[in-house]
Amino acid sequence: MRLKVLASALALGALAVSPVAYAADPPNFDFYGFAIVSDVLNSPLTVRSVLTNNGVVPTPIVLDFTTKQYTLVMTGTLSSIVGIARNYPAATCAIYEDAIGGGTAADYANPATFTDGTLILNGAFDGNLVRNRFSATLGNFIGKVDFSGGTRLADLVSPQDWPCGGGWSRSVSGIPAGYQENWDGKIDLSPVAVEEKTWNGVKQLYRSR
Amino acid sequence: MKHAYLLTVAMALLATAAIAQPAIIDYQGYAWETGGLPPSNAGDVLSVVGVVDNIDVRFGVNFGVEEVTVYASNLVSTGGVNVGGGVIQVAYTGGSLDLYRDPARNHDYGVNPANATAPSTFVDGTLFLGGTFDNFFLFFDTNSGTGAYEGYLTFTAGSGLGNLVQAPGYTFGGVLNSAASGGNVPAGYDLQVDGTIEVRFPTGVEHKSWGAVKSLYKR
Repeated sequence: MRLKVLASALALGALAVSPVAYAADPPNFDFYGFAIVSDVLNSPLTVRSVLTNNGVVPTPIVLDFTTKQYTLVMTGTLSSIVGIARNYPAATCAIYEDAIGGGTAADYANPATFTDGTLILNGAFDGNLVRNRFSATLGNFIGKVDFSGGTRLADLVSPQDWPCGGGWSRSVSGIPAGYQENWDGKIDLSPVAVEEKTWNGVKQLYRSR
Repeated sequence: MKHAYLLTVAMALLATAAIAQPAIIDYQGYAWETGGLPPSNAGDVLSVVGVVDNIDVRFGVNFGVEEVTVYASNLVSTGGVNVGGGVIQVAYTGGSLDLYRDPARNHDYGVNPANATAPSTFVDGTLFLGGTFDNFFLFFDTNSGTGAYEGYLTFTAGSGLGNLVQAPGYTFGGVLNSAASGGNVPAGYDLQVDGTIEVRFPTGVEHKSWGAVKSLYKR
């Protein structure tokens, strides 16, 4: 009995000092969209996308996909090409919330529909947003987002180092006019370090109760 | 002669109106390969389990009462090829891709697959679309711990097959290992996966009277 209580207390202690307690699916901001992009140095990158969690996969902060549409926009400037890597330093990332009824539905022919509504989170990539080109028609993208603004910034436990990654393809047939690539990816919950405590430290967490 | 010509043109117009329109199925999940990845050795088998969180409305899926899960299986590695710069390319043979609709909404990745819930909770419910890969490739950058994949496939079964005008499908996606994803890969899985399946719906034919067709050419 004493061992079971000890194990339970240790588990509760771990949860108390490590707020990252995953549900069945780790939360993320899942997005799907299209990019305006080229391999010309100093050319702009613009990714316009829609969050696609739809209540199926949990999001790091509570979002209402029933009455709201969420758009995610990334921008950057191509500064260098090293091997397969196309580097975009200080690229930006912004998430907007717009009402489904009364708002403007995301329309790739109308860029403004991706940046209207409420800016809920925005920030910049820490270092480079890297777009890797494995072939002329397939690649991926990777980076870490530091969120620094938006109406929901205070909801984040830690705004730094949110992993962002996914794939891109030019072989999809439904790429809208003016765009070159289909981008599909997500921003994962930032890893939060576990705080180590002694057994006495764990016990003290409960002595005030 | 003139009427025959116009009739031919009209028929051609009607035929081209019935073209395929792309539809998207967006999914995310995790992958594991026997022996781990990287490296990918010849004979290793790649599996992917995932959940669909966005799907074309024409399929009539209601996420409020059901889930759609994905299971890619029996993709056999032909061995990783070093293509330079720390990138390995892997061609896989065989392989199936199955999607299921399930009101139980019970998918559970667990740890160390295959396990008690993976892939079993990803293949319960009703087969929605089932097919086989015609080809499948994975690129993996060992420097960043990330990669991408794509594959062409032919769907041959499932309740959703009748919605499609053509059986071929295409899937692509990005992968990240645990380090690249900030630890967001359950123990025992090799990669986090985020991808898209593109299939084809028929486009509706637009009915026109003979007079309307003729008016298209009266200039």
